[in-house]
Amino acid sequence: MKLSEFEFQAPPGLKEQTLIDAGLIDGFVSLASPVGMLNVAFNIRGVSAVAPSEAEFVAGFEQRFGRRVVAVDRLPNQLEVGVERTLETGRLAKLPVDWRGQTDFQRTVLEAAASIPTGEVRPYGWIAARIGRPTAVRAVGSALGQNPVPVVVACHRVVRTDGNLGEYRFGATMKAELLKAEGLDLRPNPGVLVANRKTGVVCYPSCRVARRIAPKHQHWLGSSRQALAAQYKPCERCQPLFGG
Amino acid sequence: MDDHLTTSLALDVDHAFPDFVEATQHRLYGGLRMLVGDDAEDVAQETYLRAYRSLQQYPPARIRQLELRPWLWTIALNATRNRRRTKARRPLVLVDQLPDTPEPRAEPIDEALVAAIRSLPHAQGAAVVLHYVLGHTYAEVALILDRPEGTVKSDASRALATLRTKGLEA
Repeated sequence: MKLSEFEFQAPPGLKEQTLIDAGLIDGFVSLASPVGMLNVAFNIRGVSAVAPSEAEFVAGFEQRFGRRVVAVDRLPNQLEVGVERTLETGRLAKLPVDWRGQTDFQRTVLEAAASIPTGEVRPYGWIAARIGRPTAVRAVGSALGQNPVPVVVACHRVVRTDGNLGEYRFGATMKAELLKAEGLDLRPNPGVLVANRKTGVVCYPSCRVARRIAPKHQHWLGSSRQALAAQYKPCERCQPLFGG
Repeated sequence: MDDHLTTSLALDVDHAFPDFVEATQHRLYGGLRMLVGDDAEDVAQETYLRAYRSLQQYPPARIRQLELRPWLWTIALNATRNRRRTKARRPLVLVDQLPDTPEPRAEPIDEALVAAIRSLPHAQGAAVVLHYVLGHTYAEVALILDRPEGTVKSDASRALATLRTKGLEA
């Protein structure tokens, strides 16, 4: 065999992996979740996109982010455990997210949503108040709708004050399924807030504190005004909005 | 051929880099396969990452003056040397770092020849692969290895002689 007669062929993934390492393109994997297969895209900054696994994913990603995305066998080591844990527990924890393309406002809204405990929900207005923009309720709604990493950042835990689940980028059904899968009771509540007559503490119905109130001590309230009138104290855990 | 690439890279590194990888990957990988065996893919990735970071920092005028292929090989051989050194320090591979399934190797390659090249001293192996396998001129090889042309020539012929005594290069 002659040295000069060797024919070379780089392995198929070399170019793509190289471009991912350089941060020029993103990779994605398909992972099982309680609501079906999800595509999770990533780059050197962190998780960049999450969406239901479907044929239009690649085209949609490239149109929205202006970068190529290619299927890879597995997540990079530094993200694999974090993504697995986040999908399992519903908490973002220390999983890095690529926030490029998001305004400071959008990012603040999404980080507030990510602070809602798994299996609980909060109203849009709660997020607005929490980030110090109490009147920006509609803007909060549209920031959540632009969430590049749904499920991983739990925008599905933000609902309407009257208890209706509200809108979701991938449809109201998926929102309901996500919440059900994490243990939220989807049956309608008798009110928007519930107080413990014994302690005088008032909560959102899905708050873990509220779920421990014995039925005989429950006082269901139709509005925060009623809670204020009854001189109840807001729960320190779920921090319900008062007074409005 | 390099002219077009250097011009595009000087204009917009991020835009032209995929074409640069496309144009160079087969020969880079093939040459590395002979020098580092199964580590070729890792070393190639590391080489491109270093190349990309350098290109990002170079002013366009400097990129325009690059001899792209020899330049890439200079980076690749530095990466190779570092890897040899690291491997010598840490010869053990931990069990949990082993890949789940062995990567299938598509390209037909003469394993005996690769083994013989790998057992050569670094400078000799690099010289023989760059000149005889990849067809770089001695002037280019001298540039890549930053050694005098005469030294490179004698390294390459000494390496070839060693391979011939093993009956490996007709």
